[in-house]
Amino acid sequence: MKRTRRSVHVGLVLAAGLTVGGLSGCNTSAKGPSGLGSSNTAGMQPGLPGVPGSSAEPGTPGVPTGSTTTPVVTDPSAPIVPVEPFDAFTPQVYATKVKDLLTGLPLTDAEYLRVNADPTTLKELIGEWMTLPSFKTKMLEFFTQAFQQDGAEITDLNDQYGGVNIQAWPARDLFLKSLSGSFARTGWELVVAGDQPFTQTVTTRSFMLNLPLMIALSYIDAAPVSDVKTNSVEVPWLLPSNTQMAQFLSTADGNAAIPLSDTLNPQSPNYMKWTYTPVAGSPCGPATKKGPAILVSAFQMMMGFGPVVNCKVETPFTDADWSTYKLVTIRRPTAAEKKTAFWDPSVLRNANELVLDTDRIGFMTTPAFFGRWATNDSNMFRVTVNQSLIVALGRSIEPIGTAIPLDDSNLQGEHAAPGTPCYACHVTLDPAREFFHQSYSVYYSRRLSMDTKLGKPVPPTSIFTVFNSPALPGNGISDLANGIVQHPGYATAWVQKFCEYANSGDCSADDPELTRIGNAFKAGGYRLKDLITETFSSPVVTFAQPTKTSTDFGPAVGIARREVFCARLTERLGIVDACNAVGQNSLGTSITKAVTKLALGVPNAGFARGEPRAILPRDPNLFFSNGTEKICSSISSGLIGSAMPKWAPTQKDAAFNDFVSIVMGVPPSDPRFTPLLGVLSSHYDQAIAAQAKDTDALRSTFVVACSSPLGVSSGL
Amino acid sequence: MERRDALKLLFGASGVGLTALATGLPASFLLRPLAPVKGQAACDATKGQYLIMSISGNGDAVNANVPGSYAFPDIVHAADPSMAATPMMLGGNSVMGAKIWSTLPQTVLDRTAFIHHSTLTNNHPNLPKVMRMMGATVRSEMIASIAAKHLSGCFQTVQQAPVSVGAGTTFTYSGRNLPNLLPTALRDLLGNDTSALGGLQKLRDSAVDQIYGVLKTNGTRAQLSYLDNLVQSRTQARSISQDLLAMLAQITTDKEPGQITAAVALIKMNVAPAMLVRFAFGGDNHTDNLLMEREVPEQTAGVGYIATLMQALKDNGLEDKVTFAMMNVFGRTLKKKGTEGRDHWAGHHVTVMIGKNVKAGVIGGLVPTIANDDYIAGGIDSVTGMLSATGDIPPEQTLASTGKTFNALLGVPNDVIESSMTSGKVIAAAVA
Repeated sequence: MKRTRRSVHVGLVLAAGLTVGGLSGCNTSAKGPSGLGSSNTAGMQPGLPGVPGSSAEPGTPGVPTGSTTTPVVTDPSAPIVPVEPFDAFTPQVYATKVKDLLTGLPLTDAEYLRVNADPTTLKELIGEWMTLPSFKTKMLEFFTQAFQQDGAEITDLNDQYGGVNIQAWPARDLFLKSLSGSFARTGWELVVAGDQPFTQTVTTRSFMLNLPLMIALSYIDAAPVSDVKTNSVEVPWLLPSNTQMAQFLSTADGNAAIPLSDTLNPQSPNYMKWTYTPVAGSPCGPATKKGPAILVSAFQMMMGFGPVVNCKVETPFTDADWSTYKLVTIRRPTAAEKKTAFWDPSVLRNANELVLDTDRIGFMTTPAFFGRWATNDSNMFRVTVNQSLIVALGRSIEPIGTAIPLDDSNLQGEHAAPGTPCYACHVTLDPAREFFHQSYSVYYSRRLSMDTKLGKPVPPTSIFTVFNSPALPGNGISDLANGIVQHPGYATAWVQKFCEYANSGDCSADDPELTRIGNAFKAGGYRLKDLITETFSSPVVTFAQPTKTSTDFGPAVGIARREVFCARLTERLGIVDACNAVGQNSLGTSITKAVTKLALGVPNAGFARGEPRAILPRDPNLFFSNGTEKICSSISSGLIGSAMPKWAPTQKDAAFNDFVSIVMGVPPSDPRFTPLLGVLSSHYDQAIAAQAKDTDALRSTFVVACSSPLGVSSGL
Repeated sequence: MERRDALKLLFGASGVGLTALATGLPASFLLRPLAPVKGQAACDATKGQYLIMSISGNGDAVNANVPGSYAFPDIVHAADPSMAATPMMLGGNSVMGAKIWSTLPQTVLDRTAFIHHSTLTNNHPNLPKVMRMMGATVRSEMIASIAAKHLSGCFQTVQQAPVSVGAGTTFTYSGRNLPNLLPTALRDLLGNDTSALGGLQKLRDSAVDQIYGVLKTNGTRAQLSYLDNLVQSRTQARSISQDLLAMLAQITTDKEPGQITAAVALIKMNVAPAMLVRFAFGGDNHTDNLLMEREVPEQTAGVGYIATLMQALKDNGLEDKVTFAMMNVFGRTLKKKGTEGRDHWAGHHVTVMIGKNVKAGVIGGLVPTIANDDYIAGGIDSVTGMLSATGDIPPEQTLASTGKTFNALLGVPNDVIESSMTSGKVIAAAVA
């Protein structure tokens, strides 16, 4: 590897060859690619085509004129940085990569020919790919990760449902899945299908909810958990004393079903008599509850958990209630307006809004996000606000010095005295966290006036100013949301997020190309499809030309992460949920069981507390090697020689064609197609010669294709 | 079966050559894991230790009930018999600690050190920073990765990077995030393919080698480099001994028992020099009624898992080859909240080390805070290991010194330690 000294003037002198017109914004500024100087458009030289106010002089840093580079040393005192010659990716490589990332599908032959004839058609192709059904699947998965909506276990929800035995719900798995998938659906509905500004993901008060989620959100509002971890039930039929008694009766004991209207009508002889239908064989019986316990039982019965220990009951939910999501607006009641009653599914089934006192705004107020990032009376929302900023702005609040004094006992309160190492953190993080504090208890219920345990009042106003943003005073989660979307780094943060998702690696935060796309994203009204089109056709993802990102980190070639690999199998092979990621794999019990475990060996994208960057593994290891091979092997038995075979030995040549063009993603016009076909054909013949059955030989040939570098990688 | 033998069986001398030919890799590359890391001194295998390390960002109260934490009567312990002050022999000295620690076999206690230090942070997310000794490691390498990098050459392991078998936290090796592998998934992943397709594996490898050849014809440098990594990954996967299967087949859970079996099995089969696990040890117990809800049950179980691990190592002939370490992001308050629970505490943490190179004892100790509302780690005399206000390791250096000592106890040579860490001092008193 060549090494040179980084300089405020050093650049990459590029040999002739490539045009520069397509690289709008790739100028790394007159101050070089190191990030030492200005890296925004203001620092660019004038004249470079495609870059307003830039220079087209050969040798200008970042100007792409060829595929090799020569370092120029102008400042011997500058730090040494590695510089490698730049190898541009070919159109079929980056088009394959982009289509795979957006849809999981291989490039068709027609697309291959189009993009090779004219690489600028990539933008058009991206537009077409975004209309495919598989794009939605990929975006839902991306949104779930990017907005940190998964990772919570059922027990992580306990805080929000104080007093509820949520672990015992028969419907807990369905509920958790609904919860973690809800905001991804919201994002899709608002900013993709609805083409609303992407900022809606932070500021929206509307969420895609199914009926159980509508009920669950309404329940939290009806039974908020205060800072002192007590339920403060506020429903009319329990007030004012909360000493109301109620009977719960099983229809299996001969009790006639009592309409809910009678149960809740003080004039009815059946007032406060709740009936339920037990699941056959479940140990149920009559029970008497008092005060808030009535509410808990009424709620839990809807989730299949009866008022008696181990009693399972029929829920009011149909399969359609679980699978049907609609955009529901959550708003506060107007004066004298009744709030939404959680206990009546028949009303909620037709509702399009929830009238609640609890503010739900953006990704950072969902029960899934709150469940993932539990706080407490010591942490006091620091984790909540920090993870919110990580999601929205791609940055984490860090103290200036992470080391704190050994002995902080002389510091008042939470050791935030001016001049201490912690001070910088506290002056930034603590005001920001107050926005959550103003809206929620530490158990993420709506804030109640009775919260006194913390011993200090909730400040009436706070200031949002992070990462050098202008100070915005406000109160509550709504003002935090507004502060976030007005942050100058918001747009570029999402460019970087998509770029890193595509590359499974770092994209330089100071890459002028990211800034260019971010500025365009903002100027265009935060349209997500524009952002995707620009980012995925940009050289920061295609590596068709050098950028600061490619200079800093090299062109990205790596493994297909679990979600990428599994999406390929799902989309290309027509297998429902190939790796059983959402429990819907359709290849049969033994295969489903196997792939569920094996998929865990294939590293996936993830996030971690306090980590501003997503965890995006790129390097292969022996576990990845074994995992992908065994997954391919497992599903081969569901595709070949099975009850509903996709391929058969009697039509092996057609199968080989599919293996290369679909499984390996190499279209027939690609010069690699024929030699790869020969490899597979040869393998089949060798397997037959080794006395393998024809079905096994074909399965083995499939495994070769599926676990080949083309089958398990991105960027080849 | 030793790895070198496995490779011989798998490839033979000419086999390596054939594979190199097919993949375009030089034969030396395929055997690279067998060579010491370039630029580092060859490891003394008689001193080198594999590592099994329990890490956690929970900030477990490991520090609360170990020997050395009974030095002051107002340090709070649960009123449970398992936490009662109990004498035990460490390095020839009688020390007081929770009864649970005294239940470890004396042979284990004879190689156990409790290092009292601070971690200089009280934030959960800072576990990666603590693993990097709060900035005291070169290139931000984590201490277990420093050791792994050196010891992989020493033991000629299949891969250099540590393997997380359920640690479930962000851990890096040379800046790369390591995947977290569940023990049950490992069992299924690494097991032999007993189907009809298993018998065709070598033929498939040959076909894939030909595909490498096709791809390498016009590959870019980045693509070629990646393909080399892919080849090496498969080579590693193929070189694992069959002995692994018998052990991994015993795994039925992803919790501590499964992690122990997975870690021991992978070390026995020389997959990697370091394994990361997570033993629950009290958790984030701000609120813990009488310390009985989390601290007592989890610490009792935790010491039990340490005993289980030690027995498993002994059963597999690894007791002299593996060192166990336990480190959290921070310790917890010892006095402040009484028995209501324990808060985060940057001022005190205890790293537990158990291994052949460990000189048993209590290293360092506690001193009251200025306000006398709790206790913090004091300075250490590196020669005696005693608490010392005038020792050569001031309180602020105890974390980095623990890091250096950690590596010394794993048999990492002093020159490697010194070039890998920018501050701290090896606590000689902890080294046998």
